[in-house]
Amino acid sequence: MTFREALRSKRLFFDGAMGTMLQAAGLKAGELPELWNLSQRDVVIGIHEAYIRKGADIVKTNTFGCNRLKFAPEKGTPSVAELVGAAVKNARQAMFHTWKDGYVALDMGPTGKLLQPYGDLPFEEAVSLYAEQVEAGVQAGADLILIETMSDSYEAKAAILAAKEHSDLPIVVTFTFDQDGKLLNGADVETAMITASSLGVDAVGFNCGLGPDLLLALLPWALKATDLPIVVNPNAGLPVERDGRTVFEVGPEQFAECMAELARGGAAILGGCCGTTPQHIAQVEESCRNIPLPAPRKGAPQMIAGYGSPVGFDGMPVIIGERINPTGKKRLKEALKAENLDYVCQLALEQIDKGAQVLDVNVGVPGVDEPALLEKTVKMLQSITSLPLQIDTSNVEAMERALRVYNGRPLLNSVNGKEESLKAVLPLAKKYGAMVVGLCLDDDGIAETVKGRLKSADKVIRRAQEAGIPQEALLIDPLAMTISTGAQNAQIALRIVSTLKQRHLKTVMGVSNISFGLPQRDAVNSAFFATALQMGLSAGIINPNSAPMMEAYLAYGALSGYDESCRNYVAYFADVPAESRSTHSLTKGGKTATSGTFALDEAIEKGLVQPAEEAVRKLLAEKKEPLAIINEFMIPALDRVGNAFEKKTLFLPQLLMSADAAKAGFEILKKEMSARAGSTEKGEPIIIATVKGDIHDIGKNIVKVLLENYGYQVIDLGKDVPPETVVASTLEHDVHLVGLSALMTTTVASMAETIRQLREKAPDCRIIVGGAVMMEEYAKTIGADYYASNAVDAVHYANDVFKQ
Amino acid sequence: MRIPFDEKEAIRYFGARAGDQQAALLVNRAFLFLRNELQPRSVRQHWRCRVTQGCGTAKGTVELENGTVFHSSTLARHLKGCSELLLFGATLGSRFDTALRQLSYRSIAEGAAAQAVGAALIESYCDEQEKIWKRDYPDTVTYRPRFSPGYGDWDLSEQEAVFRVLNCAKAIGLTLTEGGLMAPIKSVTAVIGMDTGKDPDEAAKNEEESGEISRNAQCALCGASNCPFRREG
Repeated sequence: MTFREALRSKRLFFDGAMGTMLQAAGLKAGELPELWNLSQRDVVIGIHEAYIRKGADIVKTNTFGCNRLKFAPEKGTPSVAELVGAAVKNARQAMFHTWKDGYVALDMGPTGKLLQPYGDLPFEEAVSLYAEQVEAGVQAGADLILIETMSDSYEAKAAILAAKEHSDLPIVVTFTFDQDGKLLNGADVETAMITASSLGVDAVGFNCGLGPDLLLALLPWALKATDLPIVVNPNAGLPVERDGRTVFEVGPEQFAECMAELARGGAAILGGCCGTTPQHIAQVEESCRNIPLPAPRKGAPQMIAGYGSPVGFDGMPVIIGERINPTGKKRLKEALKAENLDYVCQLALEQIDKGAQVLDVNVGVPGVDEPALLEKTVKMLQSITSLPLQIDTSNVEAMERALRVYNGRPLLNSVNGKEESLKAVLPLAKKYGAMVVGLCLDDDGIAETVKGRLKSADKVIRRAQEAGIPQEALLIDPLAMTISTGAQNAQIALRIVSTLKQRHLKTVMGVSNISFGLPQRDAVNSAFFATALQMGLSAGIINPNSAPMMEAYLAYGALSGYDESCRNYVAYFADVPAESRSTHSLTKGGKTATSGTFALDEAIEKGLVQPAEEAVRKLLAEKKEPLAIINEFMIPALDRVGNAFEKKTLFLPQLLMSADAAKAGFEILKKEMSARAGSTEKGEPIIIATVKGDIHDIGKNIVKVLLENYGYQVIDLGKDVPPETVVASTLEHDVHLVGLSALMTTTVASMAETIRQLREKAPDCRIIVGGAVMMEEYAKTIGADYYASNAVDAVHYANDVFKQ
Repeated sequence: MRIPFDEKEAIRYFGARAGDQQAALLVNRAFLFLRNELQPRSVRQHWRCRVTQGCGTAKGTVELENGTVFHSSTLARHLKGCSELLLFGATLGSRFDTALRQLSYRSIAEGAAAQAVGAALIESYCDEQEKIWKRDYPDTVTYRPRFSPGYGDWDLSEQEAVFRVLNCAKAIGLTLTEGGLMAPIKSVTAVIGMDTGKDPDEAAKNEEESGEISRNAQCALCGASNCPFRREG
């Protein structure tokens, strides 16, 4: 019987711990257990045998941390392939000795590194580390792949992709949660299960971290989130320190009792992790073998997820923020062309604050490398928010790159009924487990009748099903066309929504298209949105900054009964004064510390964001030129603050608050300038970066904000930046000043290397360095032009270089 | 677990003068936002150790019972008279990093305040954990202050050995980057010397030489002489 057949037809048992058994056999703290596959074969085989004799059907190979970060001939150890090969052979040997049938699971644990952006391991590097293990496991004849102890859903995704791309073996994924049911990156149980399940694995579940008693509380969440069989491999309780040693104290009987409860509660495969022994497994097998296998489940809701909580479409409709889309947005277009993703992040945070639950991400601007930019944008956004993203592009390459690096289960916008689209998009959606927006159009275009559009929808639904994507994973977009060109356009869209709702299908709509070409669009949009919600719209792609739209949404929640006791509705209006509601204007009132009328320079010096914004608006209303505002008010104020900081009459917090206030003022001026004439991404370009190996960037970010406030076009390469990237970017943008930051002594070497390469390839470029360990003398030694002891100092130097 | 928040310490790390209301407001706002993102974890091991003082150009060493050796004269001096030690790692978790990034995008001042809050929180967390750990040992034991790789002449590259022994990645999700920096960012690894008083003469001598090192004196151990947070005295 294959593993996949067995999974559905009988109760299977995993073995228990390997690591703690090896420690009991003499493995020392800090010693690499995988080496024992070769050096202490008999011990390893003996442990496997003991488990098999006590009833384990599946044995995990002793390969938990077997990747090339730890094992390679150049590190003086055997290769990954050799160790994995030996490990599989050991497990197989044990089965042979015991005359029992069973399955050898290639065990893959975490890489031991954190993936970017939490750490410095690139996603594709993680995939490649796992791919090497998978290939070796397949070669050695493993029966299945167990991806275990995953405490980061992103790393789990890397491992799953590697397993799928390099084998056809069944895949089991088990996660390690804390007592609150969260992974280390914050993903909850549902999110983890949904993400893994969507990628097409065979079983999911829990291991390590907690004892079986604590897993009882988490199991229902997993059962709710996925239809796949659930695996439970807990520890023998929580670790306890006894006489200087870590021990697990839940004995076999108590362990088995809890496991039986888990089995009755719906867990399919049972086994153990740290601290469990063959006796534990024997007891579990005895007390659970007669508990009937849980019936196959069907009907887990299709949901999307980032790495927080999932978002479903079967209850209160979902708000998808539409703002990250350059269509008709000059400022965003320019920012994207200049790869200024800070602006994109600001748009994201603004929408999140206003109540978006999902963010649409579209970076399609003519002339940009969309695949690269979309990938970068998705990575950037998921470094600041765990909300799910809607990947919005028609560029198939961009689509795949974004789907690949996405952390969670994405929503893909979109596929349509055209052959070309169906053929290109559906396989990608299937591979990466995305939910998909299906547009009501096909090779004949957009039909002008309800019937015609439904025909397109049905084609998409049928083809998706053929590609293995159930109709529940689709959101059909009826395509709202503007009513200014077709009187029936709104009615057509609404009828489609209502028809599909009756067929229990999900719908989504870009709501604001409906009013294209009309004045006061929010009036039409919000009325249309309210009607569509009532017809059963599952998700609206809207501007959450628009008060009328959000009010229509909240009112619908209250009226439909989704918003129990009108809680959200009341909460929303609790802070909004009645008179300012319709215009969304700023709070009026007396002059307080943070509001009231201030002169612009005063607002900046005092570090007051809102007053600075108001002052800029006022000056613009008085027909002051943006450049004049900058030169006459902002720069002198910033200079005064900077000088006071250097003289130590004013301290870092004030400096930064002033920078924030100036930045807020600048944002308004940039919008204004971009509306008037061409690009705002001007000013002398300066590159700044935190060097490779270093992931601390607060200092660099402070310098960036200050430089930007002085009008420089800062190209921020981020943190952990390889020397080659700095050089390439310097040449590409013809940059004459590069700023490098390093925090620790260990990363100064990488700073020196970056400088060396810059000197070689871009000899005209000046280099300024800073960071906690830097000192003037040191900076000279490694060849920098200047050492800036603080951010103001850096600005002075830049001004000198560019003679400002 | 609730970590006590030392607001004063956070304000100091932020670089503000005492009594700076605006800075205090920012620090508090940052704390309110960040406290929901804490996922503190720690791992501790108790080792018998052999301390050998440096001599001439040879660095002092601290050898654990499993054969791991730390090379640092400052560490050896600091642990003089200790026959046992606690080795630990502690982290606030990656969610804290994400929240920190988010705050920095909203406002650079709040971002910096958040950094300061993180620094204060990880120190308080270590303090709390230390208290809990010490319950496991006799009252007669005296302890040396925490001493981390990177202090004095203890080379940061020896973090790798610390991480290997503690199995930090698996135990608490704490990792090292290629440059030897810790991720998540707000994390600490350190050694706490345990003086069991088995060698009374030695212990008495120690009291004089290294003694109970206060937080201020802890700064004296570190080579970062231009560190803005250095405490004198």
